[in-house]
This record gives sequence, C-alpha cells and structure tokens, in this order.
Amino acid sequence: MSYLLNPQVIIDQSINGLTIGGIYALIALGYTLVYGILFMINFAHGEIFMFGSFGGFAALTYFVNSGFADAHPGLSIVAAFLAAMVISAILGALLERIAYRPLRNAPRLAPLISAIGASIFLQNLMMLIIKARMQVYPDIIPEEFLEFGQYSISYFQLFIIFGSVLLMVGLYLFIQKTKTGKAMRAVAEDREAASLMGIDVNRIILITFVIGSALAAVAGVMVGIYYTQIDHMMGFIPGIKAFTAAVLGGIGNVPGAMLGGYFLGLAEAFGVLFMPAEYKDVIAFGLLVLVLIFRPSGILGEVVSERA
Amino acid sequence: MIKRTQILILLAAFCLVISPLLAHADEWGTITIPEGKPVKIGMGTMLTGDYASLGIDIKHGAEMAVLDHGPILGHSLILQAEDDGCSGPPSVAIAEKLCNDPLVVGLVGYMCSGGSKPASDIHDKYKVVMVSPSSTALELTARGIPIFFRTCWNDRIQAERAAAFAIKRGWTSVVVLHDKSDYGQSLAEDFGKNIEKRGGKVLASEGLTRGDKDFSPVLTKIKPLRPKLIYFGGMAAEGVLVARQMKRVGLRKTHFMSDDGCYTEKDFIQAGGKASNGCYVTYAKEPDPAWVKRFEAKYGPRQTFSPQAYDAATILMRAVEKAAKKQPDGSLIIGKKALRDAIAGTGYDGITGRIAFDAHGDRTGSVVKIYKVVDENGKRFFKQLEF
Repeated sequence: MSYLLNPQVIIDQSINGLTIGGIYALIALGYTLVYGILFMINFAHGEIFMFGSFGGFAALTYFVNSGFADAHPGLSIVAAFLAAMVISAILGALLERIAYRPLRNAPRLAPLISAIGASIFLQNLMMLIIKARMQVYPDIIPEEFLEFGQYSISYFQLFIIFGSVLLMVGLYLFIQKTKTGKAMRAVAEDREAASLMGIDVNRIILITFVIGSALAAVAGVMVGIYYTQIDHMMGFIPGIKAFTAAVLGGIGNVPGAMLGGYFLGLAEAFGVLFMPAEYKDVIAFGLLVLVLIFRPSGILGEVVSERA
Repeated sequence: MIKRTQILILLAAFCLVISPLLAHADEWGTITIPEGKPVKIGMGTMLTGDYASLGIDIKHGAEMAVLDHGPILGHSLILQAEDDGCSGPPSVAIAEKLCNDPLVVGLVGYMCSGGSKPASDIHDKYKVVMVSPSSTALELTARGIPIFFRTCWNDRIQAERAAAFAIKRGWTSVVVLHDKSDYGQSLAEDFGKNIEKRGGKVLASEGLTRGDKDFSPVLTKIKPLRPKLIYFGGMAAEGVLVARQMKRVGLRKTHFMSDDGCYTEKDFIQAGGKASNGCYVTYAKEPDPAWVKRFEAKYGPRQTFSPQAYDAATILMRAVEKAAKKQPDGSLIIGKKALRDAIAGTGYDGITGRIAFDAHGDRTGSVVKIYKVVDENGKRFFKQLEF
C-alpha cells in the first residue's frame, strides 16, 4: 500500500492509465455508436482498428522511403493519420454494406455471427499480407519529454491524451449540434419513425460506421507510434478491452464509452500496484464480469431516449 | 522323418530370410529409407508470429547446412521445416507427425524451450533424435531423456555469467522481469539466485504477458525501488518494449540486461531505435566470420541462432552417414540407437567452435559472452565486451 503514499507513483501511473485509457475510449466509441443505432456488437471493430494501424504504417513507411518524412516529419504523420482514417472508414462502410445490411432484419444472433466471421476473415487477410511477421513503426519523431522537477511526461503521451479528448469532444458536439448528429439520434431512438420523417436511415447507419471506424483508425496509428510494434492480432485484445470499456460506461452511451475507457485504463495501471503484473488482463475482464453481474447497464446506464 | 526334414528346411529358409534383418537389429528399432527416396531432416521452428525472424534465421542456418552437405550415400536430403509457434501444443503436434514419418531420421529443433520440453517426451517415445539449436532451458538436459541434444549453451551458464558481470559492474540491486515462459522464467529466476549468491539483492520479480505491448504500469511500479539493473528473461519483441518504456517512465539511470532471445539485430537493435543503445545481452562467442560472410551473402543479416542451427544439422547428417548401412538394393537402414550414439560421440569442429556432448546432451565447454549495443561511426551493433 506504500505505493499510494508516493505522489510520484500516483502521478506516473495516472499518466500511464490516461494514455492507454484514451486509446480504449476511442475504440469503445465505435462499439457504442453502432450499438446505439443497430443494437448489435460489431466484433470486427478491433480489426478495423488493426487495419487503421497498418494503413498508417504503410503511409509512414512510404514517406520514410521516399525521403518526404525527413523534410516534413510533422506533415507525414498528419498524412498517415488521414490515410489510416480513410482506409478504416472504407473498410467500415464495406463491412456494413456486405456483412451487416443484408442481415438487418434477421434474428439478433445472425449479425453477431457475421461480425465474428468478418473479424476472423480480416485477421487472416492481414496475416497473408504481412506474412504473419511483426511490423515496426518507423521512428520519425524522436520521443522528447516535458520535465517538471522529478516528474516527466512524454510528448507522445500528451499527444494521445489530448488528441483523444479533443476527438471525443468533437464527436459529442457533432452528435448534439449538427443536423446529421440529430438524425443519428433520431434513428437510434426509433428507426421507423425517423424513416417516416424523411431521414435516409441507410445513409445515417453508414455514416455511423464511417465515424466509428475513423476514430478506431486514429487509435490504431497512436498505438503504432507509441508502442511501435503492430501485427495482425493486435486488434483482438484491445478490441475486447474497448468492448469492456463500452459496457462499463453503459453501451450505447457516448460519454459512457469515454468514461469507461479512462476508467479501464486507470484500473489497469493502478491494479498492477496491488497484484503481480502478469494479471493485468485479469483486471479488465474481472471488471467486465463484475459490471455484468451487478450493474449490467453500466456506470452511466444505457441512455434509452438519448441513445447515440 | 520327412516331417522333421521339412521343418528343418523351413527353419533354415527362415534364418536365411531373417539374417540380414538380424544383422542390423537395433534395440530401438530401425529406420529404412528405400532406394530413390530422400532422407528427411525434420525441423521445428517459429515461421510465423512475433519471433518469426528468429525462427526463419534458424531455418536458413539448417537449410544452408543441408545444401553444403549434399546427398547422403546416394540419397538426396530434404529439410522439412514446420512452424512450432515457439510453444508447446504445435511442437507436440509436429513431433507426432514427424516421428511417424518413415523417412524422417531426426529433427533440428525445437526453437523454444517451452516447445522442446513437451516435444522431447514424444521424441523419446519414438526414439527419434532431436538437436536443438536454441532451447537453452536448464531442465531440458536434466530430465534424463537420451535423444535430446543441443548446440547452444544452457541457461545455468547464461544466468551465472550474466550475474557475475552485473555484480562486477557494481549493479547489486536488481529487478527481475520475465515472460512467464519455460525459458524466460527459469532463466530470470536463476539469474536472481545467482545475484543473491554473490551478495546482490533482488528487489522485485515480475512476470509479463507475451504479446502485451504496454509495460509502463509495471515499470512505474518498479521505479521507486531505484534498481541499478533490470534483467529481462524472454524474447526480443517484449524485451525491446521494456527497454523503450524504461526510458519513458523515467528509469533512465537503470541498466537493461537480457538474454540470447534479445540478441537479434532486427527485432532488438532496429526495432528499439536509440532506446536500445547501452543495453546488454548474453550470447555465445561470435561464429566463424567466413561462414557469416557466406551466410549473409545468401540470406541477408543473420539474427541469432543460425550458426547453432547450421552445426546442429551438420552433426545430425554426419551421424546419419556414420550410422546408416547401405543395402544391396540401394536402400538405407539406420539403427535408431546407433544414430543416437553417433551423435553422442560427436567430436567436431563446427562454425560455433568445438562440439562434443556430455552425458546429458549438453555441449561441453560452451561459453557465454556479454554484448552491449553500441553506436559507433553511425552503425549500431552488438559489441562483445571483454569479460
């Protein structure tokens, strides 16, 4: 327990937790947006995240090889994020069109099985592309640290923490303030009524997938830059953890997914202080079990009327 | 009377038929390679996954040995490489498959100790020899399995050398990390014991999960202990992340030391970037430079165990040549015990030095050296330290 009396450990561990938590939250938003509208769990979302990471990797590798990255390191990273978002958004839209739309009126189990199938297909597709070898993100920007006396924080961590918050605030405003956001909320509330009011439901569902996928792509590139190693199975564990975060906050609830992501990240970081580090994954999945038993609707609850 | 003569004639005929078989009787049975069929050398190594660059390097080493050696007594040679996934279940499946293949004489592998351990039980059941180029866990040769040999060192030596080096440098307070594998965990624990035997102190010991990427929480937990050294028992994929994230959480004065699993240019030095500078690893002495030149011209930069794999395959092929008996019809008959004894009696100058085995299947007189990642003249590489 002596760890909790040490302010340095508390602060360092909070930074660790917020960094990984921001990534979980960005992925969790994809689960929660889709669930809010379609009441289905898109289990291929982890793979969309993985493809985004590889999209960024391909772009960065291209910039490094062509020498562009040496001249404009910042610009090439921005371009890598955009490339990743485009790739994931296209993939998300394709998935919706091919794997989910034909099953929209089928029993609820059918799209779930379709999602798991899509997930396995995408993992194996990437395995064939990269020949099952781990890939390493190029070091374009050296990692620098912001120092305050004995405390220090990496610019990468600052970037992930603030970047994820910014995107989440943006998403929240988009859903609350824009016309499309309003339409998304309307479709979530009552698909048929929304359709009668002249909302193109198919278009709104597609937009939801595109937004969720693009957010996952951002998380994918962040993971690539921060942890450097990526492989075809990288979407599996973060995908399930982000799903846990979405359930934790109340699935279908956008602020809940953000809260759940940060909560899970912090729980993992601080949990390591009280138990051996090898049980890190136990914390996430233990939390999932506890939430499902004692508060199945999550911390903030499933928002029924304001879903999306 | 007639009956007895008939029986005698039958008996004589039976003896005539059986005698060539009896002449080659081997208490463990024999392997017969028919005329025109190849001799197969099995191989278990990781071909896909996080440590595949290590596994493919091993495959290249053995492949080069097979190409260098050429046919055995008129039979062509085939290296049949299977993906052992660096873990138990696939290794056991490969062991069952290859031990039941009538053309397989022996196997080079498995890559990881966690695979070699359960697979060696299967090999022992069928008495098919295996020579591992890279499984270093101590217990593999301590289990009294007669068909297991290795061309690498064992972890007792590796842990001793690493601990002696650390103490000599004055790194007396250490934290031990491992990846929970048969290899990493036993090595790291052994290292810790050696440190304490020499008067040092192990402040903490923690396990990591293979495939995990985020070790900052556990490193932050370690940080207030202010260790002089973090020792990691495991492979490069995780090792390099520990080295990187140590810098990130502020363990900048703490040294990082690891094992042969991290002695790989691609997955440790290149993947680690500047964070790998100043890290220490242990590995055998450098192999024959002429061989390295030949290997790198063909396959590109070598990683870790290709020289040991080259020697392992060569030893196996030489033993087959010694134990095989060519039949008049062109087939080869190889006694399994005779083959095992031929390997046990190896005395051969390989590219990794003189190779002979002790009674347990360990190499006699193997040495482990300390290497440091240095950045000299714009080139970053493992530099062997005088110790």
